[in-house]
Amino acid sequence: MTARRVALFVSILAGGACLCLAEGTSAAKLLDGVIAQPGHWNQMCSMPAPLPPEVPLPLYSLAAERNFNVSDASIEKLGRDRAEVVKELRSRLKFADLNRAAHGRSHGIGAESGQDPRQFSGLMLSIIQKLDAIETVPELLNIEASLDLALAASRPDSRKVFPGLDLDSPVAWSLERNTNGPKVSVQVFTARVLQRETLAIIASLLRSQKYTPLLESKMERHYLEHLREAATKPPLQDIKTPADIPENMREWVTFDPVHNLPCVKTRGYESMPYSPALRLQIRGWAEDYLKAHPELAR
Amino acid sequence: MLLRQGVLVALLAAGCQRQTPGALGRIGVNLIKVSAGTYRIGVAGNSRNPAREVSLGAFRIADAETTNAEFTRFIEATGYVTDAERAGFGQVSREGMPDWAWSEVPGANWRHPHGPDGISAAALPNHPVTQISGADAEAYCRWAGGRLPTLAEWEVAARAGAATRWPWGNAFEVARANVWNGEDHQRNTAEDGWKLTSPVRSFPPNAWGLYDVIGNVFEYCADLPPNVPAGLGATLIAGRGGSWWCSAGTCSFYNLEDVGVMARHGSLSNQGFRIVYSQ
Repeated sequence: MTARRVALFVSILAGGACLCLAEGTSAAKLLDGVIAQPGHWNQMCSMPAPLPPEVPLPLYSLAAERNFNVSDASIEKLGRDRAEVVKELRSRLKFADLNRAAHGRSHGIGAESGQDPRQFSGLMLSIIQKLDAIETVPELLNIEASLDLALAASRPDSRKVFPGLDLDSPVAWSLERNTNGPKVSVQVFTARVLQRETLAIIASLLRSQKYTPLLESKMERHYLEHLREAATKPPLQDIKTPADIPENMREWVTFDPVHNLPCVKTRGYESMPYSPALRLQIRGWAEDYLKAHPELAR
Repeated sequence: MLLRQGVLVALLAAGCQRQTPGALGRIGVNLIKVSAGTYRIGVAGNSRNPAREVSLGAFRIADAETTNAEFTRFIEATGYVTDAERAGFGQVSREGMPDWAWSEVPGANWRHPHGPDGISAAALPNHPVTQISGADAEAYCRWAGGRLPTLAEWEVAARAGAATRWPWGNAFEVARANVWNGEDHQRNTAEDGWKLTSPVRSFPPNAWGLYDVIGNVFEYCADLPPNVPAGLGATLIAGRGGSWWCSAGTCSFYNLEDVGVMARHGSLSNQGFRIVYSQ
């Protein structure tokens, strides 16, 4: 199936069913507001580490630093109406049109991200992770499948893969100047990043639920190695218990809930090579989890 | 050869005139005149600032970053409310933070750049104004009859004819600029004498008489780098030169080559600007 036909298929599914978004609910407005003005922005000199065009699988996080991030205060706001906000997130994921431009709106007021709150984005994934919204796994699996299908049907240099998708990250800006290796278009790169990130957030949500097969996996062992190594370096090397966290670091240092090791909340992107087998493994875990929790499929 | 001679003449001619603009009315700043000409800027391999030649019209650029005192006059004259004041917070960095961390501090704005508990701008009249967004800087410039420099104008003026990584050469010298001194943001040794901003003109100027082009505060510019996708001008703004917060262990953008980008309406305690006037 060509990329164009895949895109048309996805567009029909999304656009044809897009009738019931609760535009006026307080949860909808809250979500609109937070995505429009997420509350946190990178400093001038934030320069994300380059991502290779083949894009690895990030471990339990986004892969690419964004221009705007969701602040703790914004998450707290959303968390006060979590049930309704998650319902709204599920609806937006269900009806997201990956062909539609996610960036471009600006009203010139406040530190606005310019992201369309109704479209799929890194901000949306970040909110899902921070709200621990395991309920969104069914919709995330569908989004991931759409991205994977489109990528499978496209050449690496294709510009027709969901051209509206937007990373809103400097990591994509220098891609086309990278002359090493086969040429990868910004569109394919963007789709790859978002597809890997969706899988990573699904894994993160399962991890948060202490899903045993994941905790016993090679992926988790890799992550544990990363945590152990980071715990030996500044600023974590002297922190052995939560009580050891200095007062001025409490905003950024936490303890990993699985391994009880200190970790820094900022940056710290860890990854492993992506493969179709790894993708199927994560999807398999998610599907098994959903079978055991049929209430999430509603 | 002719082009090189032309560039040489332009470089020699530039930077020789200082003006205190009575005609420019509202503010009294020292302006350095930069002559029209073709200049080499950028560096090979830098995707945001590739090596290239640019042709510029003549312009005049402030010899120093806009200060708290100057910004106060703008506020008193216009009643302008900055983005951070509207939002109710600014982003602040402090010694002891992990690298790449920022705090959202309620009440942090240009009057109290590090928050209500920190030192006030009124106590630092000759320090560069900070906790002002790119949009705030543009508003000031409009009031003063000027504008922000373009990325190219900034670099030409900051280089002052130098083809090196810093205005003084290719080796960084601690005594030449206010940047973070330390391996990481856990501790600032303050080897350069400052932990936060310094009064403008505290360090030696470049060859054309511009102060603090490196360090002190990042300086907003009017345009975005060439590799930034079109359409992001409404949400992002570029800046150059690095700041008191920049360290060798983190971003190291305190040089003539790198171009930073951030939220146009975002405010941080290490962002500022200098004003430019077209000829």
